[in-house]
Amino acid sequence: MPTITLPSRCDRAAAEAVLPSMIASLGSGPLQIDARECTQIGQAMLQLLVSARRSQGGATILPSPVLQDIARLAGLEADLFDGGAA
Amino acid sequence: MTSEEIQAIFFAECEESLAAAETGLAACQQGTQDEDTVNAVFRGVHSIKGGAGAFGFIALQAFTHTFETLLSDVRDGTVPLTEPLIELLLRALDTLSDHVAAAQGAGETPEDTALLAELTAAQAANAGGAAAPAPEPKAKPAKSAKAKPAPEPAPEAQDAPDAELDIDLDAMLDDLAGAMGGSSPEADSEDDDAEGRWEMRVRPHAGAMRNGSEPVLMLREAIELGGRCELCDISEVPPLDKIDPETGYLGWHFSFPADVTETAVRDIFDFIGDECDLVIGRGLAMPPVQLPEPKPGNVAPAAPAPTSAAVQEPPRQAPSAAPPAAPAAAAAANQTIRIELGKLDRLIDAVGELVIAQAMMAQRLVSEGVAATEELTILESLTRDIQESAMSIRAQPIGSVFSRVPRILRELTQSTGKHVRLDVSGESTELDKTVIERLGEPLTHLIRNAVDHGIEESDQRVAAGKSPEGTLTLSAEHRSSRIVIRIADDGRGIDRERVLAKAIEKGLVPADVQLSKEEIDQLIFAPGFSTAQTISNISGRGVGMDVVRQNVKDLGGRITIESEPGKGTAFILTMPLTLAISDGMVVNVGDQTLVIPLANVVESLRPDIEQVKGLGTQRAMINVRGRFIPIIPLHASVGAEGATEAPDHGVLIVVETEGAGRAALLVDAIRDQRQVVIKSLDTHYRSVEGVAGATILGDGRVALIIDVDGLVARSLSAAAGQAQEAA
Repeated sequence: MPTITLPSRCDRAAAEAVLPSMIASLGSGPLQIDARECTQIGQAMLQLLVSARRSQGGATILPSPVLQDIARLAGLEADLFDGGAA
Repeated sequence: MTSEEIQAIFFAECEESLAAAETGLAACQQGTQDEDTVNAVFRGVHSIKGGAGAFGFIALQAFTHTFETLLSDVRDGTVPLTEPLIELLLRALDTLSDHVAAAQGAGETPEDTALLAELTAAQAANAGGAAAPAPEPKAKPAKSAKAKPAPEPAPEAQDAPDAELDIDLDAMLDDLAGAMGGSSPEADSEDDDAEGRWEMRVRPHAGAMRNGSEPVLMLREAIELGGRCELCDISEVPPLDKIDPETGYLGWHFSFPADVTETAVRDIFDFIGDECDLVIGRGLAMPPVQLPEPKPGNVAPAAPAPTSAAVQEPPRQAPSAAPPAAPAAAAAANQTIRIELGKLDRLIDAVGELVIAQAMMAQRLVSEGVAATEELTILESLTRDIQESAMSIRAQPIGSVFSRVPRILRELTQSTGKHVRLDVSGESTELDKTVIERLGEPLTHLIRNAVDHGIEESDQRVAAGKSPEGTLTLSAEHRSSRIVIRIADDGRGIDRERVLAKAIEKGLVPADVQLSKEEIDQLIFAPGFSTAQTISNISGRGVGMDVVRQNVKDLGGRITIESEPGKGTAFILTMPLTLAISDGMVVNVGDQTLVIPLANVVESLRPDIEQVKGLGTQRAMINVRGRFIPIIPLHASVGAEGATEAPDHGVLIVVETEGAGRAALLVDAIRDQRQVVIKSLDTHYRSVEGVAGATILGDGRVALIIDVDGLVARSLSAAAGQAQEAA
């Protein structure tokens, strides 16, 4: 299972940086996104995670407490973490 | 983009916001108190508050919050906009300006406790009868019991230990992360009566994610206000291979309790302005996604330049969207980008080189026997167009300098007790950014001088049949290739007898000197000259006016005075439009080629021998239509060899100078009249008296640009000295 580890600071620049790796992983089976180090996250990364969940094969996200909190705030908890692809 | 760059943008926007608020309050003072004007003031202060919070400028944010709370009530009509209130708001704006400067590291954080108390009192006193006097209807502040409090607006926050927050996106995001602990939609479900709640849908666009205005932070504010996220619309999020991280795909549906005002919610998103679409109302559709325009190079040749780190994209409004009317109109009026100044300077340099290359090519063609071709004419025309366009990018309206004047006058009113009305015209006149920046200081001094020395005390004014309130008129206009700025007062005018007596007393001029009115006026620019009886902190130390003139001269400008006793004085600054390229007359003097700035040239003539009159042993004069003008042989001043010495064998260029009147420069021949790119001698060599700079000619040679004022003044005083010695 391909795994992509997100940086601590997941701002727009980080989203732009990890997108090519995510695209490259398409077709290689379900993707695992390790966001356990994530301490900051913005809209660009949130929507990238949503996209990863909705893309071919889906993705499993290992969240940090911060990501969980922000997902809850933004109404994305179910879309990002509940079971299979949203 | 680094946090420093984002902060720089924030501070640039602060300047704009302060200027907009100042303009709005000035309009209110003059009786324009409509909704748009008051809103503009509110928006200016609110924008600063938003950024201050994002960057952790606690004192700035605390002050803006109290200021904004009062403005909010003014806007809502609960606090009447009276004359004393406007004065209070203007004082608050001055302090806000100081807060912004302090946040930039340009000064101490101002002491604002008393002013904050005044603002709060004004708000409380007037809003006392209103139903909800609370400054911001922050619903359920206790619901995030574990949450780190948001940067709170209390004045004491200035001393709070977290005033030293790390000022970058990290801090903002950390703050967000911390604030989220313990807050959850479930926690709000106890209020889930749905009755009386109203709905808001918001879709942030691309620009909302740039420049530090992270939309997720605003969601937090919405929740703190009592909002609840009902749904996040992810239907527009494309799959990975189609996603553009710069586009905003997510949309949020929030609900708010009835006691939260629509204005309070809109204010949250006001900070990202046109970069998000917001609709309010039950059951409305989510605003559509704003897809990026095609990248240049593929289809649309007219598309804007690709976004770079230092460029802030203008808001682009999707025509198909149905956003509220106001943001759409604002977007159309705000098609601007911010560009790092260094990039512009490189463009100007490149255009300068282009002008030189074009001149060299023209020269080469002439030497090859191709005198004039249509293509060359087109190239010349295009080069000039490019140069003017490039210059216009650096051009800024002089209003940015004029907008500081009301504050200066308020401070002067406080210290001198003189009330001065300000009339401004031509504030949209544009000139080079560097000129504008460096104009601030001399302009400030001239204004202080006008109020301190020019405008009389009100009892004296009344006795002289004038209104007790003085008037200061500031105007700017384009005149040929220069800008003329006029600072005029309706005061007592220059007391020439006193000026002359003071100059004689200080030994600046001989006791028996005969001077014209203009020459006496010019004495006030002499170093160390001051007629003030007492030294005040405003003016009177005699170290200002000579510096003013020097500053203006350094910018390639001139300063002249018009004064009429009892009626007032006007200082007229004539400034170049740009410092980089200028029109010059290329002349031959012996073995040298020199450039005379066209701005100084009045006319050129070939004199007959009978027009030239000898005056003593050294000086010759020419009679030009009854006016005698001293002839200055340029070769003697610049040390050229083999030059024409007889005026009737050469050409005389009549020039106008600031301090020495007209003079005729004797040259061998006029070679050309063209644009020259000014290269600083100070930078490449050293400062040379009588030389303003250098340029590269079409044949690749370096030619010196004459500092006409300096050269004429030096030559005439040297000639006068020789004449005295001979006598």
